Amino acid sequence: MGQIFAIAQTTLGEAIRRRVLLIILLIGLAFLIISPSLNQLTPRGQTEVLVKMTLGILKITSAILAVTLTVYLIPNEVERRTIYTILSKPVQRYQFLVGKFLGSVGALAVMIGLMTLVLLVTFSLQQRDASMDDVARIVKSAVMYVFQMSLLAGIAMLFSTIVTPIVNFFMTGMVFVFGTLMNPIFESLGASSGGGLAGLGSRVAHYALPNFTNVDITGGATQAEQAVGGSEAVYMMNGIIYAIIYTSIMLVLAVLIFDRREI
Amino acid sequence: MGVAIKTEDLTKTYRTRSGKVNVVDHLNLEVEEGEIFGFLGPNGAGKTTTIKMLLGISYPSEGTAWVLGKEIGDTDVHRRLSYLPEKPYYYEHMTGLEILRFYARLFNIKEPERTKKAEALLEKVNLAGDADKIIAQYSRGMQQRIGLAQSLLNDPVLLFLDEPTAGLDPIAHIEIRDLILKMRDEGKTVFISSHELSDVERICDRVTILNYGKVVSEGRLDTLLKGGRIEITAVNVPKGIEDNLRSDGVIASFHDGRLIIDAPDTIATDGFVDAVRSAGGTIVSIIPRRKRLEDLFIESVGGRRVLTEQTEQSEESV
Amino acid sequence: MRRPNAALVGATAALFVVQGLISKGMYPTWVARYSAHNVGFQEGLNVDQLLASVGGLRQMVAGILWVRSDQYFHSGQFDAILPLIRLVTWLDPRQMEVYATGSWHIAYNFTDEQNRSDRRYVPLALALLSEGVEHNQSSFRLFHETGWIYYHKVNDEFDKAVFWFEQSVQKEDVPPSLKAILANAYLRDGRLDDALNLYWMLQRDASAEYARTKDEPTRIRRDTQENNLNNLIMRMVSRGIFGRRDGVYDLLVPGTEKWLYPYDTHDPVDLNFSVKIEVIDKKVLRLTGNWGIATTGARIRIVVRDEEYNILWEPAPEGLDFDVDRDDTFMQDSLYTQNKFFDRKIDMSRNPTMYPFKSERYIVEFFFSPRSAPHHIQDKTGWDGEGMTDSRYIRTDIRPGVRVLFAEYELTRDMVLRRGDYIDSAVQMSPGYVEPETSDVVGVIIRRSLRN
Repeated sequence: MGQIFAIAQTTLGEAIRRRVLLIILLIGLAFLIISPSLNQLTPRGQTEVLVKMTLGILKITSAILAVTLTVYLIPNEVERRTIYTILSKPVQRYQFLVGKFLGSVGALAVMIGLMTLVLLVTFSLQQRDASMDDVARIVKSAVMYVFQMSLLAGIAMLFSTIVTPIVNFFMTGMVFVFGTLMNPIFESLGASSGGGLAGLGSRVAHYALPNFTNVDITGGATQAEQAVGGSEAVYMMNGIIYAIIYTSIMLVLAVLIFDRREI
Repeated sequence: MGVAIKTEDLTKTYRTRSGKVNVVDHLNLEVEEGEIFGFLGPNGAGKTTTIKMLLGISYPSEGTAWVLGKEIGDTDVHRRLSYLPEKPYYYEHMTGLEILRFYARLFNIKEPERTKKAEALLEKVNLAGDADKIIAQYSRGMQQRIGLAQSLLNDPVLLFLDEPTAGLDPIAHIEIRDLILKMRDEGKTVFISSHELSDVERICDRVTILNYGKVVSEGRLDTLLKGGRIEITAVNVPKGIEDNLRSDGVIASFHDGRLIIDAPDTIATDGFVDAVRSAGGTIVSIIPRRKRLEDLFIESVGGRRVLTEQTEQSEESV
Repeated sequence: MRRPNAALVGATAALFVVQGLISKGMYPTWVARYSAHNVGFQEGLNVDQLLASVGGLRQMVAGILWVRSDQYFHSGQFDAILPLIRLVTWLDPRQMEVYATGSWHIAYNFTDEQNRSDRRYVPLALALLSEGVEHNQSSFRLFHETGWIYYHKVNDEFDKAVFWFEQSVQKEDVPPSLKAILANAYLRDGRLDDALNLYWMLQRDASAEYARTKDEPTRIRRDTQENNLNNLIMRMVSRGIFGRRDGVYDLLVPGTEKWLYPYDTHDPVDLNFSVKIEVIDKKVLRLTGNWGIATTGARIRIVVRDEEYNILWEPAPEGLDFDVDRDDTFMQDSLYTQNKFFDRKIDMSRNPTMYPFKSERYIVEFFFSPRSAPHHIQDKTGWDGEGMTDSRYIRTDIRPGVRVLFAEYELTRDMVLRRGDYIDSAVQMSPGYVEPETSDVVGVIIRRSLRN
């Protein structure tokens, strides 16, 4: 465990200090700061629109962060040959991989946290009529994003053991898009009740492929509506457990491949 | 003296478009404890691949090997050895001290011993004054020295150094060389892979020369370098004569109008002198010379890959 | 080469099954709470929109567009709003605010110089809302908004308002304060007992909640509900609802012509309606006429429309995709009555896009329903018009179950435009029209008694 934490901590430090990521982070922050000023005229529902919009920006920025943080994680180590100095120490490959992953997820959490903080500050400055419910909703969504993006990072990690970073970027992006639209597509196909081979196939795909909608609570319409159909906390908890399990599966597969790979 | 490294038909095969290529081809090596072992060969000869297999970073296609008495793949043995890869980059955002503390954590070395050890090693590699600078501000030589320092954290009995002097300036060369000698004096086994012969020549006890994955020459340096060469310089010799002078191991060519003959000392010089004279030339000098590792190297790899060319290639590959 | 660890592979396979089960378990909740109900895929979302909407960009793009449409509204560029609202709701069909505010813009804010809203847009607003309702089934919000358009904007066909409010109050997230609107809708739909029951239930709930919380807001709410309930009972009593049920409504004091139990609606008031429609200028009407209810505040609806064009208060069948037909004319306003007459000038000359007058013949309708009248007018007419009469214009076929006043007249295009035969004057009037007794004192009620 000591080795994993040492690697995670170093990766976290490096990610936080890497300039490219800082630039992306700054763009996100700038967006968050600018967006409220776009919106001074709405007579009704300004807060509602603003919350959704800023959460959208937060989601996109953190998804880009998650992918860019992860796709270069292993290739960079190989290119800089630091991986050899580490693996020639009493460090197992899985420890290296898990350490790297935890480090980048930690960095992700820190960055999402920072962006959320800025969002809340600008929010409270611009939206004096914002309620504690709005604040709670932003915070809850941001927490879910951390887990959602960890899952995304886990997928990028798995791909990074197989393909080059550029290919990985697109593959992970596609998985994200598909995983985000998974429930809507599934629902529109009416596949949950469909019989036959096609119905079975789509059900299998639906429950086998990574489903980002499970780890997202921004789709709901209003705070009040979130109460419909049982406790939101339970739904969130399920989503978080789902994300952790799926991420673990991705990591195990990544380790199995990475263990066998020439580096 | 025990055996530090032993390989048995160690082979690594890669598939290429033109078929399978044995990058390392049935390699049989033995490195004894306490010696500085030179593992030589042009780039692409299979040196780094061999080291990676010995470290369990790469997996052999055939054969096996033992490192410090354990068959490869057992990472436990990593506690007693260390590896300095060719031109590694360290995490640039960390200071020299932080880097060493990080690597120390990988050995589960606890504080306060961790910091104590890191500081002592910085002292040893002459970086104590730069301990709080971040790696990005280090010169190449300093980075190589921090690399050496990290490789000494676990007080290893066996060190793998891959091209330890590549890309360094002459002063850094000397510093690194001195550090390697110091390690040998401490009783460590040092496995140096290199194509920079002048360094290896001065410090290696034994060398193996590898080309296309196969051993082409091996043995103790003093044995291998037995025998020397003679260089004859003549002027006023008509062109064309050099073709007649060449034979096995004899190099004859014109430089600035001078004919230079470079021949093994096993061949009698009289024949060359006579030939020059009868052509109307004048002998300027006859200099006997001890055989150098370069010569051995060129002989071993069959002259197809000339050393200078290789050096240029390796620069490009960085 | 390492061999896979069998235990690890087995555990991973087990985890894989577990994640599938969790996902399956979460899906119904997702459908109930977060689903956009297939928007886009069914309606043929095009590639651009699909691209923009992928990867969570949807909400963001929708937010930006919504802000822009709002700016258009404030700068008066109404034409740009409709397509933007269309796009926003495609992108983020869960954005209830867009449906709510968007339909409000559409139904209320396209207005002419005299602040009359353009009724041709009401079906579009309803179409937008019905789409929003489809995608946001679990919240009261858009059910309520739809009910409100019928209740307040259409202000007629109250069975539709009831239909929507009834669904609104059943949603878990409806605030208690918005439930009473259903009772009002019941009243206007003539369902007095349903209104009474609802007020009673609301009062009971509010009292129970006050007993529990003992805080100021709930006390105020309880008092309001009590008030509502008491008022309705009082009105039902004084308007003779209970008396009619008990069979005592029409009883006279024996041997006299006096009512045994006098009710407000007794001796129906004669509306004595007559009107003169005068085209005083091109597309400018002056409406003067007599009105029998002395009490100030009754409003008579007036509609000027193409003979062949009438608005059905239903969602536009095409949805929000198309703008209104700019060739149709439909003007609706109301005539405010005071001192037993009305006198109103309606200028439709300055808004040719709203009032194109392209048709050859026009209908001018006058309509008064006691259902939508204010309480003090209803006190005379009753909910069903039992307290009003008129020798010519009372109709029972226009709105079944209610006696309403309805009169219609015809205008030709030449009359409206004051040309041809009508270049000097264009007038339509009720038979036997007599100019009302008017006064120079404007805005002062000059009646001594409201009984005559």
